[in-house]
Amino acid sequence: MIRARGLTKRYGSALVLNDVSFEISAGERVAILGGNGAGKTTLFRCLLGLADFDGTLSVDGLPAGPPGVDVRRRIGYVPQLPPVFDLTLRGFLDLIAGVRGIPAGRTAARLEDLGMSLAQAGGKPLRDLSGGMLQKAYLALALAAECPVLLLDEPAASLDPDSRHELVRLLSSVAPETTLLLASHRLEEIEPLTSRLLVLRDGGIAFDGSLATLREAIGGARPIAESREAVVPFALASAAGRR
Amino acid sequence: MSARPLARRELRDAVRRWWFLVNAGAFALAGVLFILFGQNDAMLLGQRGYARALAGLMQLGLVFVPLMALVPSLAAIAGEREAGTLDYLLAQPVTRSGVYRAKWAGVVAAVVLSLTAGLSVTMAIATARGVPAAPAAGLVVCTALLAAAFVSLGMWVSALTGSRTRATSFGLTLWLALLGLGSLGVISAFVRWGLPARLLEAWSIVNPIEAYRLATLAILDPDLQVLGPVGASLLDALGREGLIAASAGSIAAWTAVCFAGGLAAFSRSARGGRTGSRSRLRA
Repeated sequence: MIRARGLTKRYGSALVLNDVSFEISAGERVAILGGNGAGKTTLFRCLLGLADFDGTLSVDGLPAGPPGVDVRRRIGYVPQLPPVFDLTLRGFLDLIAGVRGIPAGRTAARLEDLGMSLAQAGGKPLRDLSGGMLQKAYLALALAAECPVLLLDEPAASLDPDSRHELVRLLSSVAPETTLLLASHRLEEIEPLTSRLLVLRDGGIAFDGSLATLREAIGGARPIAESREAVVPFALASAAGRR
Repeated sequence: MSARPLARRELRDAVRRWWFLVNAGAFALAGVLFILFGQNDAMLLGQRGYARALAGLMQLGLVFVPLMALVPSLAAIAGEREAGTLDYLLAQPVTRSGVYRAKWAGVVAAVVLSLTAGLSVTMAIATARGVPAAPAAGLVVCTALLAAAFVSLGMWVSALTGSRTRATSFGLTLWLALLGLGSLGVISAFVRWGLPARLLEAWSIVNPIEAYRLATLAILDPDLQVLGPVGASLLDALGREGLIAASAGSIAAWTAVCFAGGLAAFSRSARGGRTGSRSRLRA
Protein backbone atom coordinates (compact mmCIF):
# COMPACT_ATOMS: atom_id res chain seq x y z
CA MET A 1 0.00 0.00 0.00
CA ILE A 2 2.80 2.43 0.92
CA ARG A 3 6.28 2.06 -0.48
CA ALA A 4 9.34 4.26 0.09
CA ARG A 5 12.69 3.79 -1.63
CA GLY A 6 15.63 6.03 -0.81
CA LEU A 7 13.32 8.73 0.55
CA THR A 8 15.40 11.79 1.34
CA LYS A 9 14.18 15.17 2.48
CA ARG A 10 16.19 18.26 3.35
CA TYR A 11 15.03 21.56 4.77
CA GLY A 12 17.87 23.84 3.75
CA SER A 13 20.99 22.26 5.15
CA ALA A 14 19.09 20.07 7.63
CA LEU A 15 18.76 16.48 6.49
CA VAL A 16 15.47 15.31 8.00
CA LEU A 17 14.99 12.02 6.15
CA ASN A 18 18.04 10.25 4.80
CA ASP A 19 17.65 7.39 2.35
CA VAL A 20 14.62 5.92 4.10
CA SER A 21 13.11 2.75 2.63
CA PHE A 22 10.18 0.71 3.84
CA GLU A 23 7.07 -1.05 2.64
CA ILE A 24 3.69 -1.13 4.35
CA SER A 25 1.02 -3.58 3.22
CA ALA A 26 -2.68 -2.83 2.99
CA GLY A 27 -4.37 -3.18 6.35
CA GLU A 28 -1.17 -2.94 8.37
CA ARG A 29 -1.23 -0.87 11.57
CA VAL A 30 2.12 0.84 11.87
CA ALA A 31 3.43 3.17 14.55
CA ILE A 32 5.96 5.74 13.41
CA LEU A 33 7.99 6.43 16.50
CA GLY A 34 10.73 8.92 17.15
CA GLY A 35 11.64 11.92 19.22
CA ASN A 36 10.94 15.50 18.30
CA GLY A 37 12.54 16.35 14.95
CA ALA A 38 12.99 12.70 13.98
CA GLY A 39 11.06 13.24 10.74
CA LYS A 40 7.66 11.73 11.52
CA THR A 41 5.64 14.74 10.39
CA THR A 42 7.99 15.29 7.44
CA LEU A 43 7.27 11.74 6.29
CA PHE A 44 3.54 12.52 6.48
CA ARG A 45 4.05 15.79 4.58
CA CYS A 46 5.85 13.90 1.82
CA LEU A 47 3.02 11.35 1.63
CA LEU A 48 0.45 14.16 1.41
CA GLY A 49 2.31 15.94 -1.37
CA LEU A 50 2.94 18.98 0.84
CA ALA A 51 6.70 18.73 0.38
CA ASP A 52 8.92 17.55 -2.42
CA PHE A 53 11.62 14.95 -1.78
CA ASP A 54 14.25 12.78 -3.41
CA GLY A 55 13.72 9.07 -3.88
CA THR A 56 10.41 7.38 -4.54
CA LEU A 57 7.30 7.21 -2.42
CA SER A 58 4.00 5.72 -3.50
CA VAL A 59 0.57 5.06 -2.06
CA ASP A 60 -1.56 2.35 -3.62
CA GLY A 61 0.80 2.36 -6.60
CA LEU A 62 0.40 6.11 -7.17
CA PRO A 63 3.42 8.37 -6.83
CA ALA A 64 3.23 10.62 -3.77
CA GLY A 65 4.60 14.14 -3.70
CA PRO A 66 3.28 17.31 -5.38
CA PRO A 67 0.68 17.64 -6.81
CA GLY A 68 -0.58 14.39 -5.24
CA VAL A 69 -4.34 14.91 -5.51
CA ASP A 70 -5.03 11.25 -6.29
CA VAL A 71 -2.90 10.17 -3.36
CA ARG A 72 -4.60 12.62 -0.98
CA ARG A 73 -7.97 11.25 -2.07
CA ARG A 74 -6.84 7.96 -0.49
CA ILE A 75 -5.61 9.51 2.75
CA GLY A 76 -7.48 10.64 5.84
CA TYR A 77 -5.23 12.89 7.89
CA VAL A 78 -5.17 14.25 11.44
CA PRO A 79 -2.42 16.85 11.95
CA GLN A 80 -0.23 17.00 15.01
CA LEU A 81 -1.45 20.46 15.98
CA PRO A 82 -5.01 20.77 14.68
CA PRO A 83 -5.12 24.30 13.23
CA VAL A 84 -7.90 26.60 14.33
CA PHE A 85 -10.03 27.83 11.42
CA ASP A 86 -12.02 30.99 11.96
CA LEU A 87 -15.22 28.96 11.72
CA THR A 88 -17.75 27.28 13.95
CA LEU A 89 -17.40 23.54 14.42
CA ARG A 90 -20.31 22.93 12.07
CA GLY A 91 -18.91 25.36 9.50
CA PHE A 92 -15.54 23.65 9.62
CA LEU A 93 -16.97 20.14 9.29
CA ASP A 94 -19.22 21.25 6.42
CA LEU A 95 -16.28 22.93 4.65
CA ILE A 96 -13.98 19.91 4.73
CA ALA A 97 -16.83 17.46 4.13
CA GLY A 98 -17.78 19.56 1.09
CA VAL A 99 -14.21 19.58 -0.23
CA ARG A 100 -13.85 15.82 0.29
CA GLY A 101 -17.35 14.92 -0.83
CA ILE A 102 -18.23 13.23 2.46
CA PRO A 103 -21.98 12.50 2.60
CA ALA A 104 -24.00 14.66 4.98
CA GLY A 105 -24.42 13.18 8.44
CA ARG A 106 -21.46 10.82 8.31
CA THR A 107 -19.07 13.23 10.06
CA ALA A 108 -21.65 13.94 12.76
CA ALA A 109 -22.03 10.20 13.32
CA ARG A 110 -18.25 9.74 13.70
CA LEU A 111 -18.20 12.67 16.08
CA GLU A 112 -20.93 11.01 18.14
CA ASP A 113 -18.80 7.85 18.19
CA LEU A 114 -16.06 9.95 19.76
CA GLY A 115 -18.44 11.15 22.45
CA MET A 116 -19.07 14.61 21.05
CA SER A 117 -22.43 15.96 19.99
CA LEU A 118 -22.62 18.18 16.92
CA ALA A 119 -26.05 19.35 18.03
CA GLN A 120 -24.51 20.74 21.22
CA ALA A 121 -21.12 21.95 20.03
CA GLY A 122 -21.84 22.71 16.36
CA GLY A 123 -22.39 26.43 16.89
CA LYS A 124 -19.18 26.97 18.88
CA PRO A 125 -16.25 28.66 17.14
CA LEU A 126 -13.28 26.31 16.82
CA ARG A 127 -11.19 28.72 18.90
CA ASP A 128 -13.51 28.07 21.86
CA LEU A 129 -13.08 24.30 21.72
CA SER A 130 -10.60 22.51 23.94
CA GLY A 131 -7.58 20.81 22.34
CA GLY A 132 -9.23 17.44 22.84
CA MET A 133 -12.49 18.50 21.20
CA LEU A 134 -10.58 19.97 18.29
CA GLN A 135 -8.63 16.77 17.84
CA LYS A 136 -11.87 14.78 17.88
CA ALA A 137 -13.32 17.00 15.15
CA TYR A 138 -10.30 16.38 12.92
CA LEU A 139 -10.38 12.70 13.73
CA ALA A 140 -14.09 12.48 12.93
CA LEU A 141 -13.41 13.99 9.50
CA ALA A 142 -10.54 11.59 8.81
CA LEU A 143 -12.69 8.63 9.77
CA ALA A 144 -15.76 9.88 7.91
CA ALA A 145 -13.74 10.15 4.69
CA GLU A 146 -13.40 6.32 4.79
CA CYS A 147 -10.06 6.38 3.03
CA PRO A 148 -7.90 3.28 2.57
CA VAL A 149 -5.07 5.02 4.45
CA LEU A 150 -5.26 6.92 7.74
CA LEU A 151 -2.36 9.16 8.78
CA LEU A 152 -2.70 10.18 12.39
CA ASP A 153 -0.03 12.50 13.71
CA GLU A 154 -0.02 12.27 17.51
CA PRO A 155 -3.79 11.68 17.51
CA ALA A 156 -4.12 11.33 21.27
CA ALA A 157 -1.82 14.19 22.25
CA SER A 158 -4.63 16.42 23.54
CA LEU A 159 -7.04 13.73 24.71
CA ASP A 160 -7.90 12.89 28.30
CA PRO A 161 -7.63 9.23 29.42
CA ASP A 162 -11.30 8.49 28.71
CA SER A 163 -11.07 9.96 25.23
CA ARG A 164 -7.87 8.03 24.58
CA HIS A 165 -9.67 4.86 25.53
CA GLU A 166 -12.48 5.87 23.15
CA LEU A 167 -9.95 6.58 20.41
CA VAL A 168 -8.34 3.18 20.82
CA ARG A 169 -11.76 1.54 20.68
CA LEU A 170 -12.72 3.50 17.59
CA LEU A 171 -9.47 2.90 15.73
CA SER A 172 -9.64 -0.80 16.60
CA SER A 173 -12.97 -0.91 14.84
CA VAL A 174 -11.66 0.70 11.63
CA ALA A 175 -12.12 -1.59 8.63
CA PRO A 176 -9.37 -4.25 8.61
CA GLU A 177 -8.30 -3.31 5.07
CA THR A 178 -7.56 0.26 6.21
CA THR A 179 -3.87 0.99 6.51
CA LEU A 180 -3.12 2.93 9.66
CA LEU A 181 -0.02 5.05 10.28
CA LEU A 182 0.23 6.55 13.71
CA ALA A 183 3.02 8.97 14.51
CA SER A 184 3.86 9.29 18.15
CA HIS A 185 6.65 9.60 20.62
CA ARG A 186 4.67 7.75 23.28
CA LEU A 187 4.69 3.99 23.07
CA GLU A 188 1.86 3.69 25.57
CA GLU A 189 -0.35 5.67 23.23
CA ILE A 190 -0.02 3.43 20.20
CA GLU A 191 0.81 0.07 21.69
CA PRO A 192 -2.75 -1.30 21.69
CA LEU A 193 -3.32 -0.19 18.11
CA THR A 194 -0.31 -1.27 16.14
CA SER A 195 1.33 -4.45 15.06
CA ARG A 196 4.52 -2.92 13.73
CA LEU A 197 6.90 -0.21 14.88
CA LEU A 198 8.92 1.93 12.53
CA VAL A 199 11.36 4.01 14.50
CA LEU A 200 12.92 7.10 12.97
CA ARG A 201 16.14 8.42 14.39
CA ASP A 202 18.78 10.77 12.96
CA GLY A 203 16.98 10.84 9.62
CA GLY A 204 16.97 7.07 9.15
CA ILE A 205 15.07 4.00 10.29
CA ALA A 206 16.50 2.85 13.60
CA PHE A 207 14.11 -0.03 14.03
CA ASP A 208 11.49 -1.75 11.91
CA GLY A 209 9.67 -4.67 13.45
CA SER A 210 7.15 -5.83 15.96
CA LEU A 211 6.84 -4.67 19.52
CA ALA A 212 7.89 -8.12 20.67
CA THR A 213 11.09 -7.86 18.66
CA LEU A 214 11.79 -4.46 20.17
CA ARG A 215 11.22 -5.87 23.65
CA GLU A 216 13.65 -8.63 22.86
CA ALA A 217 16.15 -6.14 21.46
CA ILE A 218 16.21 -4.01 24.55
CA GLY A 219 16.58 -7.11 26.65
CA GLY A 220 13.67 -6.46 28.93
CA ALA A 221 15.50 -3.49 30.41
CA ARG A 222 12.13 -1.97 31.16
CA PRO A 223 8.68 -3.20 30.23
CA ILE A 224 7.58 -1.23 27.20
CA ALA A 225 4.00 -1.02 28.41
CA GLU A 226 5.16 1.02 31.36
CA SER A 227 7.24 3.33 29.27
CA ARG A 228 6.78 7.03 29.53
CA GLU A 229 7.79 9.29 26.69
CA ALA A 230 11.19 10.01 28.24
CA VAL A 231 11.96 6.30 28.21
CA VAL A 232 11.24 5.73 24.56
CA PRO A 233 14.35 7.38 23.12
CA PHE A 234 16.46 5.39 25.58
CA ALA A 235 14.80 2.15 24.63
CA LEU A 236 15.08 2.89 20.96
CA ALA A 237 18.68 3.93 21.23
CA SER A 238 19.38 0.65 22.96
CA ALA A 239 17.46 -1.27 20.36
CA ALA A 240 19.24 0.47 17.53
CA GLY A 241 22.59 -0.18 19.15
CA ARG A 242 21.94 -3.91 19.46
CA ARG A 243 20.69 -4.46 15.94
CA MET B 1 -14.45 16.59 -4.54
CA SER B 2 -13.91 20.23 -5.34
CA ALA B 3 -12.52 23.49 -4.04
CA ARG B 4 -15.87 25.24 -4.59
CA PRO B 5 -16.79 25.09 -0.88
CA LEU B 6 -13.65 27.16 -0.23
CA ALA B 7 -14.94 29.96 -2.48
CA ARG B 8 -18.31 29.85 -0.74
CA ARG B 9 -16.56 30.00 2.62
CA GLU B 10 -14.54 33.09 1.59
CA LEU B 11 -17.71 34.80 0.46
CA ARG B 12 -19.69 33.82 3.57
CA ASP B 13 -16.82 34.87 5.85
CA ALA B 14 -16.52 38.23 4.13
CA VAL B 15 -20.24 38.94 4.29
CA ARG B 16 -20.14 38.33 8.04
CA ARG B 17 -17.24 40.74 8.62
CA TRP B 18 -17.57 44.39 9.53
CA TRP B 19 -15.75 45.70 6.49
CA PHE B 20 -18.35 44.31 4.14
CA LEU B 21 -21.16 46.34 5.69
CA VAL B 22 -18.92 49.38 6.20
CA ASN B 23 -17.91 49.35 2.50
CA ALA B 24 -21.45 48.99 1.28
CA GLY B 25 -22.79 51.57 3.73
CA ALA B 26 -19.99 54.09 3.12
CA PHE B 27 -20.42 53.95 -0.64
CA ALA B 28 -24.18 54.21 -0.46
CA LEU B 29 -23.97 57.16 1.93
CA ALA B 30 -21.22 58.96 0.00
CA GLY B 31 -23.08 58.42 -3.26
CA VAL B 32 -26.35 59.77 -1.90
CA LEU B 33 -24.54 62.82 -0.47
CA PHE B 34 -22.78 63.49 -3.78
CA ILE B 35 -26.06 63.21 -5.65
CA LEU B 36 -27.83 65.53 -3.22
CA PHE B 37 -25.04 68.11 -3.47
CA GLY B 38 -24.98 67.63 -7.23
CA GLN B 39 -28.60 68.74 -7.29
CA ASN B 40 -27.52 72.39 -7.16
CA ASP B 41 -25.16 71.90 -10.11
CA ALA B 42 -27.89 70.03 -11.94
CA MET B 43 -30.18 73.05 -11.72
CA LEU B 44 -27.53 75.08 -13.56
CA LEU B 45 -25.84 72.47 -15.72
CA GLY B 46 -28.52 69.82 -16.22
CA GLN B 47 -27.25 66.22 -16.33
CA ARG B 48 -23.67 67.44 -16.31
CA GLY B 49 -24.23 68.51 -12.72
CA TYR B 50 -24.94 64.91 -11.74
CA ALA B 51 -21.99 63.70 -13.79
CA ARG B 52 -19.85 66.11 -11.81
CA ALA B 53 -21.28 64.64 -8.58
CA LEU B 54 -20.57 61.09 -9.73
CA ALA B 55 -17.04 62.16 -10.69
CA GLY B 56 -16.63 63.22 -7.07
CA LEU B 57 -17.74 59.76 -6.01
CA MET B 58 -15.20 58.29 -8.43
CA GLN B 59 -12.42 60.37 -6.80
CA LEU B 60 -13.39 58.79 -3.50
CA GLY B 61 -13.44 55.38 -5.15
CA LEU B 62 -9.97 55.59 -6.61
CA VAL B 63 -8.54 56.12 -3.16
CA PHE B 64 -10.64 53.64 -1.21
CA VAL B 65 -11.64 50.86 -3.63
CA PRO B 66 -8.04 49.55 -3.86
CA LEU B 67 -7.78 49.66 -0.09
CA MET B 68 -11.07 47.81 0.34
CA ALA B 69 -9.90 45.16 -2.08
CA LEU B 70 -6.46 44.81 -0.53
CA VAL B 71 -7.56 44.33 3.09
CA PRO B 72 -9.22 40.90 2.62
CA SER B 73 -7.02 39.73 -0.26
CA LEU B 74 -3.72 40.35 1.53
CA ALA B 75 -4.94 38.10 4.36
CA ALA B 76 -6.39 35.41 2.09
CA ILE B 77 -3.27 33.24 1.78
CA ALA B 78 -0.83 34.74 4.29
CA GLY B 79 -3.47 34.67 7.04
CA GLU B 80 -4.21 30.97 6.45
CA ARG B 81 -0.50 30.26 6.29
CA GLU B 82 0.08 32.04 9.58
CA ALA B 83 -2.81 30.25 11.28
CA GLY B 84 -1.55 26.86 10.04
CA THR B 85 -4.86 26.18 8.29
CA LEU B 86 -3.41 26.35 4.77
CA ASP B 87 -1.47 23.11 5.16
CA TYR B 88 -4.58 21.28 6.28
CA LEU B 89 -6.55 22.60 3.30
CA LEU B 90 -3.75 21.51 0.99
CA ALA B 91 -3.76 18.06 2.62
CA GLN B 92 -7.24 17.56 1.14
CA PRO B 93 -7.75 16.14 -2.36
CA VAL B 94 -7.65 19.52 -4.09
CA THR B 95 -4.96 21.08 -6.24
CA ARG B 96 -3.03 24.12 -5.08
CA SER B 97 -4.31 26.02 -8.09
CA GLY B 98 -7.86 24.96 -7.20
CA VAL B 99 -7.44 26.34 -3.68
CA TYR B 100 -5.98 29.59 -5.04
CA ARG B 101 -8.69 30.02 -7.67
CA ALA B 102 -11.44 29.32 -5.13
CA LYS B 103 -10.08 31.84 -2.65
CA TRP B 104 -9.60 34.45 -5.39
CA ALA B 105 -13.15 33.95 -6.66
CA GLY B 106 -14.55 34.15 -3.13
CA VAL B 107 -12.68 37.37 -2.25
CA VAL B 108 -13.48 39.01 -5.60
CA ALA B 109 -17.16 38.13 -5.21
CA ALA B 110 -17.22 39.51 -1.66
CA VAL B 111 -15.46 42.78 -2.49
CA VAL B 112 -17.40 43.40 -5.69
CA LEU B 113 -20.66 42.56 -3.94
CA SER B 114 -19.99 44.97 -1.08
CA LEU B 115 -18.99 47.79 -3.44
CA THR B 116 -21.74 47.29 -5.96
CA ALA B 117 -24.34 46.96 -3.20
CA GLY B 118 -23.46 50.48 -2.05
CA LEU B 119 -22.97 51.90 -5.51
CA SER B 120 -26.22 50.44 -6.80
CA VAL B 121 -28.17 52.52 -4.29
CA THR B 122 -26.42 55.65 -5.57
CA MET B 123 -26.94 54.72 -9.19
CA ALA B 124 -30.61 53.99 -8.64
CA ILE B 125 -31.05 57.49 -7.19
CA ALA B 126 -28.89 59.03 -9.93
CA THR B 127 -30.86 57.43 -12.74
CA ALA B 128 -34.13 58.36 -11.03
CA ARG B 129 -32.93 61.98 -11.20
CA GLY B 130 -32.19 61.85 -14.87
CA VAL B 131 -28.64 60.57 -15.17
CA PRO B 132 -28.62 58.10 -18.08
CA ALA B 133 -28.38 54.50 -16.90
CA ALA B 134 -25.49 53.55 -19.20
CA PRO B 135 -22.82 55.87 -17.68
CA ALA B 136 -24.00 54.96 -14.18
CA ALA B 137 -23.67 51.27 -15.00
CA GLY B 138 -20.27 51.99 -16.58
CA LEU B 139 -19.06 53.49 -13.32
CA VAL B 140 -20.19 50.40 -11.42
CA VAL B 141 -18.45 48.08 -13.91
CA CYS B 142 -15.20 50.10 -13.77
CA THR B 143 -15.29 50.08 -9.98
CA ALA B 144 -15.82 46.31 -9.96
CA LEU B 145 -12.91 45.93 -12.41
CA LEU B 146 -10.62 48.04 -10.22
CA ALA B 147 -11.62 45.99 -7.18
CA ALA B 148 -10.84 42.74 -9.04
CA ALA B 149 -7.44 44.09 -10.09
CA PHE B 150 -6.50 44.97 -6.53
CA VAL B 151 -7.82 41.69 -5.15
CA SER B 152 -5.54 39.93 -7.66
CA LEU B 153 -2.60 42.13 -6.67
CA GLY B 154 -3.30 41.57 -2.97
CA MET B 155 -3.50 37.81 -3.38
CA TRP B 156 -0.25 37.76 -5.35
CA VAL B 157 1.48 39.60 -2.51
CA SER B 158 -0.25 37.28 -0.03
CA ALA B 159 1.00 34.19 -1.90
CA LEU B 160 4.56 35.51 -1.83
CA THR B 161 4.72 36.41 1.84
CA GLY B 162 4.83 34.30 4.96
CA SER B 163 2.80 36.41 7.34
CA ARG B 164 -0.25 38.63 7.32
CA THR B 165 1.74 41.58 8.71
CA ARG B 166 4.36 41.39 5.98
CA ALA B 167 1.69 41.00 3.29
CA THR B 168 -0.19 44.01 4.63
CA SER B 169 2.87 46.25 4.72
CA PHE B 170 3.92 45.25 1.15
CA GLY B 171 0.39 45.66 -0.15
CA LEU B 172 -0.18 49.04 1.41
CA THR B 173 3.19 50.29 0.14
CA LEU B 174 2.17 49.26 -3.38
CA TRP B 175 -1.19 51.00 -2.98
CA LEU B 176 0.46 54.22 -1.79
CA ALA B 177 3.01 54.05 -4.61
CA LEU B 178 0.33 53.60 -7.30
CA LEU B 179 -1.79 56.31 -5.73
CA GLY B 180 1.11 58.74 -5.45
CA LEU B 181 2.38 57.98 -8.93
CA GLY B 182 -0.77 59.08 -10.74
CA SER B 183 -0.26 61.35 -13.72
CA LEU B 184 -0.57 64.47 -11.58
CA GLY B 185 1.88 62.99 -9.09
CA VAL B 186 4.60 62.30 -11.63
CA ILE B 187 3.96 65.19 -14.00
CA SER B 188 6.50 67.39 -12.22
CA ALA B 189 9.11 64.65 -12.54
CA PHE B 190 8.43 64.43 -16.28
CA VAL B 191 8.75 68.21 -16.60
CA ARG B 192 11.90 68.24 -14.45
CA TRP B 193 13.66 65.58 -16.55
CA GLY B 194 12.12 66.56 -19.86
CA LEU B 195 10.67 63.10 -20.50
CA PRO B 196 8.42 62.68 -23.54
CA ALA B 197 4.71 63.36 -22.97
CA ARG B 198 3.80 60.03 -24.64
CA LEU B 199 5.59 58.24 -21.82
CA LEU B 200 3.48 60.06 -19.27
CA GLU B 201 0.34 59.17 -21.22
CA ALA B 202 1.40 55.53 -21.36
CA TRP B 203 2.08 55.53 -17.63
CA SER B 204 -1.38 56.99 -16.99
CA ILE B 205 -2.95 54.10 -18.86
CA VAL B 206 -0.70 51.51 -17.22
CA ASN B 207 -1.28 52.68 -13.63
CA PRO B 208 -4.59 50.98 -12.68
CA ILE B 209 -5.71 53.77 -10.37
CA GLU B 210 -5.09 56.40 -13.03
CA ALA B 211 -6.67 54.17 -15.68
CA TYR B 212 -9.80 53.92 -13.49
CA ARG B 213 -9.92 57.71 -13.19
CA LEU B 214 -9.60 58.17 -16.95
CA ALA B 215 -12.10 55.45 -17.80
CA THR B 216 -14.79 56.65 -15.41
CA LEU B 217 -14.38 60.31 -16.38
CA ALA B 218 -14.56 59.40 -20.05
CA ILE B 219 -17.71 57.38 -19.33
CA LEU B 220 -19.40 60.07 -17.22
CA ASP B 221 -18.50 63.16 -19.22
CA PRO B 222 -15.31 63.50 -21.26
CA ASP B 223 -15.69 67.27 -21.36
CA LEU B 224 -15.24 67.54 -17.63
CA GLN B 225 -12.19 69.63 -16.87
CA VAL B 226 -11.14 67.23 -14.10
CA LEU B 227 -9.77 64.90 -16.80
CA GLY B 228 -6.50 66.86 -16.53
CA PRO B 229 -3.91 67.67 -19.20
CA VAL B 230 -2.77 64.06 -19.69
CA GLY B 231 -6.34 62.80 -19.90
CA ALA B 232 -7.29 65.53 -22.36
CA SER B 233 -4.30 64.69 -24.53
CA LEU B 234 -5.22 61.00 -24.43
CA LEU B 235 -8.81 61.87 -25.30
CA ASP B 236 -7.58 63.75 -28.35
CA ALA B 237 -5.35 60.88 -29.37
CA LEU B 238 -7.68 57.93 -28.71
CA GLY B 239 -11.16 59.40 -28.76
CA ARG B 240 -13.72 58.70 -26.04
CA GLU B 241 -14.35 55.03 -26.85
CA GLY B 242 -10.64 54.41 -27.35
CA LEU B 243 -9.79 55.97 -24.00
CA ILE B 244 -12.46 53.93 -22.22
CA ALA B 245 -11.32 50.72 -23.94
CA ALA B 246 -7.62 51.35 -23.26
CA SER B 247 -8.17 52.27 -19.61
CA ALA B 248 -10.59 49.42 -18.87
CA GLY B 249 -8.32 47.05 -20.80
CA SER B 250 -5.38 48.12 -18.64
CA ILE B 251 -7.30 47.39 -15.43
CA ALA B 252 -8.41 44.03 -16.84
CA ALA B 253 -4.80 43.27 -17.78
CA TRP B 254 -3.70 44.04 -14.21
CA THR B 255 -6.32 41.57 -13.00
CA ALA B 256 -5.16 38.87 -15.39
CA VAL B 257 -1.41 39.39 -14.86
CA CYS B 258 -1.66 39.60 -11.06
CA PHE B 259 -3.97 36.58 -10.93
CA ALA B 260 -1.55 34.56 -13.08
CA GLY B 261 1.44 35.77 -11.04
CA GLY B 262 -0.21 34.84 -7.76
CA LEU B 263 -1.30 31.46 -9.09
CA ALA B 264 2.22 30.71 -10.33
CA ALA B 265 3.80 31.82 -7.04
CA PHE B 266 1.38 29.73 -5.00
CA SER B 267 1.78 26.67 -7.22
CA ARG B 268 5.58 27.01 -7.26
CA SER B 269 5.73 26.95 -3.47
CA ALA B 270 4.67 23.27 -3.59
CA ARG B 271 8.04 22.36 -4.99
CA GLY B 272 9.79 22.45 -1.65
CA GLY B 273 9.62 26.18 -1.26
CA ARG B 274 7.25 28.08 0.97
CA THR B 275 4.55 25.54 1.71
CA GLY B 276 3.00 27.07 4.73
CA SER B 277 3.37 26.74 8.46
CA ARG B 278 6.05 24.14 8.04
CA SER B 279 7.73 24.96 11.31
CA ARG B 280 4.52 24.07 13.18
CA LEU B 281 4.13 20.80 11.41
CA ARG B 282 7.69 19.64 11.32
CA ALA B 283 8.31 16.85 13.75
